[in-house]
Amino acid sequence: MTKPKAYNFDQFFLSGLEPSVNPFLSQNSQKWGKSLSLKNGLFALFLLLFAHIIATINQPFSYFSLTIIYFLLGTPAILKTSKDIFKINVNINVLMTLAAFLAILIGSPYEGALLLVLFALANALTEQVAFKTKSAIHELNKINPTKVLLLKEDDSTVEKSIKEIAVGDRLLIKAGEIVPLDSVVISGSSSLNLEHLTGEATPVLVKTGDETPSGAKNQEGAFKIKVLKTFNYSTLNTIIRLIQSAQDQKPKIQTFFDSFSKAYALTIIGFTAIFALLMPFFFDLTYFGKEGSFYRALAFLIASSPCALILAVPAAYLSSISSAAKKGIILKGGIILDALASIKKIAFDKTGTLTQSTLKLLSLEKINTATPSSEQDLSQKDALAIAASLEQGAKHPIANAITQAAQEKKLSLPPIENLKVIPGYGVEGELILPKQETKENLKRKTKVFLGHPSYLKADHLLELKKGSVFLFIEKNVFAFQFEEQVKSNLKELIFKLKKMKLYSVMLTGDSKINAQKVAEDLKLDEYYAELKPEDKLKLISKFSHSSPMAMIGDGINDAPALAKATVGISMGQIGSATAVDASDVILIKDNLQVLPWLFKKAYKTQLIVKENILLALSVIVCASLPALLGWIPLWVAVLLHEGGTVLVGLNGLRLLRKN
Amino acid sequence: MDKSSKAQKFVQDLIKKRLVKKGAGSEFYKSELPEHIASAVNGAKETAALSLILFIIFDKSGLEFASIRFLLFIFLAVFILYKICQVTLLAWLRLHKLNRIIEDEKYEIEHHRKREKEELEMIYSAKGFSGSLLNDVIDTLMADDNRLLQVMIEEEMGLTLGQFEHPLKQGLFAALGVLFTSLFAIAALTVGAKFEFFILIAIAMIGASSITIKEEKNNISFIIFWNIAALAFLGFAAYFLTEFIQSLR
Repeated sequence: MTKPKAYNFDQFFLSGLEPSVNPFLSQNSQKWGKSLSLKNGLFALFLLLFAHIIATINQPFSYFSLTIIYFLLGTPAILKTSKDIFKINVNINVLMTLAAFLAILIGSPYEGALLLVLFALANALTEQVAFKTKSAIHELNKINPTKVLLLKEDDSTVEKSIKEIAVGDRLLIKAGEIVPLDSVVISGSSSLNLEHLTGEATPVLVKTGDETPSGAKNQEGAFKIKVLKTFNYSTLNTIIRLIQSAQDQKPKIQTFFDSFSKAYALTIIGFTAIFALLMPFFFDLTYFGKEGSFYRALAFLIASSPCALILAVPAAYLSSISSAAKKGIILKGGIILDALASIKKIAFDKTGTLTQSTLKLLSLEKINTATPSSEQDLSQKDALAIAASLEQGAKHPIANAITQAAQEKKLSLPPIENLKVIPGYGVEGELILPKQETKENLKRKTKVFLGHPSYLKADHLLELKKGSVFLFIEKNVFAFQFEEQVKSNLKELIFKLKKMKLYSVMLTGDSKINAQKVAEDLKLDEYYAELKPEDKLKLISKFSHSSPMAMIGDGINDAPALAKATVGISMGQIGSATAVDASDVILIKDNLQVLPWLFKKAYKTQLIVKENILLALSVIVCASLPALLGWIPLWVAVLLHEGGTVLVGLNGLRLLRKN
Repeated sequence: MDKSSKAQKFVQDLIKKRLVKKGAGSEFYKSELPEHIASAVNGAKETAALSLILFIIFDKSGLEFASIRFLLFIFLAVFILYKICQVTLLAWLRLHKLNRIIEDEKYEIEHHRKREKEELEMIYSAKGFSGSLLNDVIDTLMADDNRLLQVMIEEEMGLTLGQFEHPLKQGLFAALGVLFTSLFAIAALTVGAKFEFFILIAIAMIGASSITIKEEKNNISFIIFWNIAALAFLGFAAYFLTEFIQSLR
C-alpha cells in the first residue's frame, strides 16, 4: 500500500499559484506547466518561421499558421491592453497590440505576428528570471517555528500549532530548537545563540527566571518555559511586521526604460493619429486606399514599433543577471541594477558580514594561583590543554575557539574522566594534573570546571574580566577571552569602495567596544553600535533620505533594514532565511569581494541600456519616416528596424562578459 | 440533539452542500478515467457522432460524394481545433475554481481557526472518533497548517489532490481522440464508399468505448451495444429529420 502523500502548499502560494507547483495537478501534469509562457512564445516563433517558409508554396496555409499565432498571443495581448485602456494607462502594451492588429488591416499580418512573437518572448524571458529568483527565496514566515511542544498538567507533551498558544502556557524546548515565543525559563538551563537577533556571537546563559526572546536558538540541554507573549506579539513576529512595513514603504523604483517607454508609446500613437488626419491637408493624398494617409500612418505605427527596445532592454538586464549569477550573485530583477547604479552609501552589519561568525581566543590570563612552587601551580599552556580536553566533544563557538587555539599550539590533551556537561554553565571533569603524574603518592584526581563562574558562586570574577569564560582547577583560575575575527582582505575592499566614492557605515547590535575595534581596523567612515532591529531601520530610513543607500547583512535583526534600504544585500550561506527574503541581492558564496564588480556591472548595464535605446531610436527614425513619406515600402522599413533589433541585442549580450 | 447526532447531521449537510456545489449529476456520471483519457474518449465519440450526422445530412441534401468528402475534411480539421480549445478552456476554468477553493480554505484556517477546529471535530466525530482519541487527532491536525489545509480540502470539500491533469494535456488528448476517429472517417471517405464509412465510424466508436471498459469495470457487451445503439439512433434521427424538413420545403 502506497503511503498517502503530504502536500506542502507554501511553495504554491509563494509562487503566486504557479501551475507547475499546483497541488491539484498530478506530478506528471505539473511538468506541463513549467515555463509555459516561454514554451508558448517559442511555439509561436516556430509557427511564424513555418508561415514564412510555406507562404511561397501555399499562401492560405501560411495564413492559417498566422491565425494560430494571433489566437495564442493576440488574445492575452488584447485582454491586457483593454484593461490598460480602461485604466487610461497608454503604455507599450497598447502600442504593440494596436500595431499588431492594425497591421492586418493594411495587409501586413506577418509584421503584426512578428511583433506579437517578440513581445511574448520578451515577457516570457522576464517571467523566467522572476520565477527563478522567487524559487530561491524562503518564505518570510518560515523563520518562526510553526509547531511547539505544549506541556500538559501531568508534564506530558502534545504538539500544538504556535498560533494556539496562550500567555501562561508551558512549553518544552529541546536542544537545537528555536525558542518559539517570548517567555521566561521555569525549569532547567542552557545557553542560547542570539547571533541573528542581536549580532552577538557569544552564547548567552539562561537559567530559571531568565527571559528568553523568540527566535533564540537553544544550544545545549532542554528546558521549560512559560509563555509571556502570544504569537502576534512575539519578538519574531514584530520583526516580520517591521520587514513587511519597510517593504511597503520602500519607494518603487521605476526603471529608466519603464518611464521612457510610456512616453514613447503615447508619442507614437499621438503622431499616428495626427498623420492619419492631417496628411491630406499638406500632401496630395486621400484618406483611404493603398497610398492613403491612413495606410501611411499605420505603416509609420508599425515601423515605429519598438521591437528593438522590448527585446534588447530585457536582454541587457538578463545578460547582467546571468553574468552576476556566474559570480555567485543572485539579483532579484533587472530593476536592482538601476538601483545599484544610484547607490552612494553602503551600510554593513558586523557579525557574519564583516567578521567571521566564529570566535577566536584573544587572551588567556591567570587570575588566581596556588602558592608559588607548589605542585599545583599550572602554566597557561597547561590550562589551555586542559580546557581543550574538556571541550573536545562540544559543538559550541567557545569550545571551537579553545580547541582551535590548542591545535595551533600543537598541545597534547590530558585525558579527562567523569566528563559532565552542565547545560548553560559549562563542563566539568576530573584529571590527574601533569605535575602529579610522576609521584606515585600524589596520584589523585583533581576536579576541573570550565564555564560561567556563577556555577561555583564566583560571580565577582566577571567584574574583573567581563565577557570571559573561566577555568577552575582547585586554586588556579584562568580567564579566557574571545574576539570575533575580521574577514580577510576586507581592508582592501573598503579601500576599493572608497575609490568608487562609496561611503561606508557599520550598523551593529554588538557592544561599542567590539564595534569600535572593527571600525578602526577596517577604516570605516562611520559606525553605530548596540542597535536593535528597529534602530537599524530608523538609521537606514534617515540615511536613505539624503541619498540612495545599500545595506549588507545576514541576520534576522538586519532584515527590516535590508527591506527598507534602496538595495538590500544578504549573505546567502550563513544568512538567515529572513535576511535572504528581505534582500534584493544575495551573495551565494558570502564573498564581499564581489561588491566592486557588482557596482561596476550596474554602471555598465545602465550605460548599455541607454546606448540601446539611442541605437533603437535612430533605426526607428530611419525606418519609420521614409515609410511615412512613402519613400520605402513597408517591408523594407520593417526589415530595417528588425536589423536594429539584432544590433541592440548583440550590444546587450556584451554584458555576459565576466569583466 | 446529542454530540454524535449533531456530527452526523453536519456531515450529511456537508455531503448535500458538495453535491449542490458540483451538481448532483457529476457525482453519478463522474468517470473513473483520468481526465485526459476521458477527454480523448469523449472527443472520439463526439467526432464519430457528428461525422455520421453531417454525412447523412449532406448525402440526403443531394451533394456529390466528392463535395461531402471535402466538407467533412474541413469539418474534421476545424473540429480538432475546437475540441482543443473547448476542453483546455473548461479545464483551466475548473483549475482556477480549485485554486480559489484552496485560497478560501487557507483564509479560513488563518482567520477562523476556532470554526475550523469545530468543523474538524464534527467530521471526525462522524467517523467514530471520540474522547481523548478525538482530541489527540484534532490537536495533531491543527498543529500543522499544511496538514490541516490538506485534510480540510480532502475531508470537508471532498476534493482529491494530485489527480487533476493539466488543461493542455487534456486538450491535447481530446485532439488525439478526435484524430483517432478522423482517421477512420478519412480512410472511408478516401475509399469512397458510404457503407464503409458507417462501418468504420462504428468501429471507431467501439474502439473509443472499449477504453473505458477496463477502467470502469463495466460489462463489455453492455458498453459496446449501447454505444452502437446510440450511434445508430443518431444516424436514423438525422436521416428522417432531414427527410422531414425537406418535405416541408
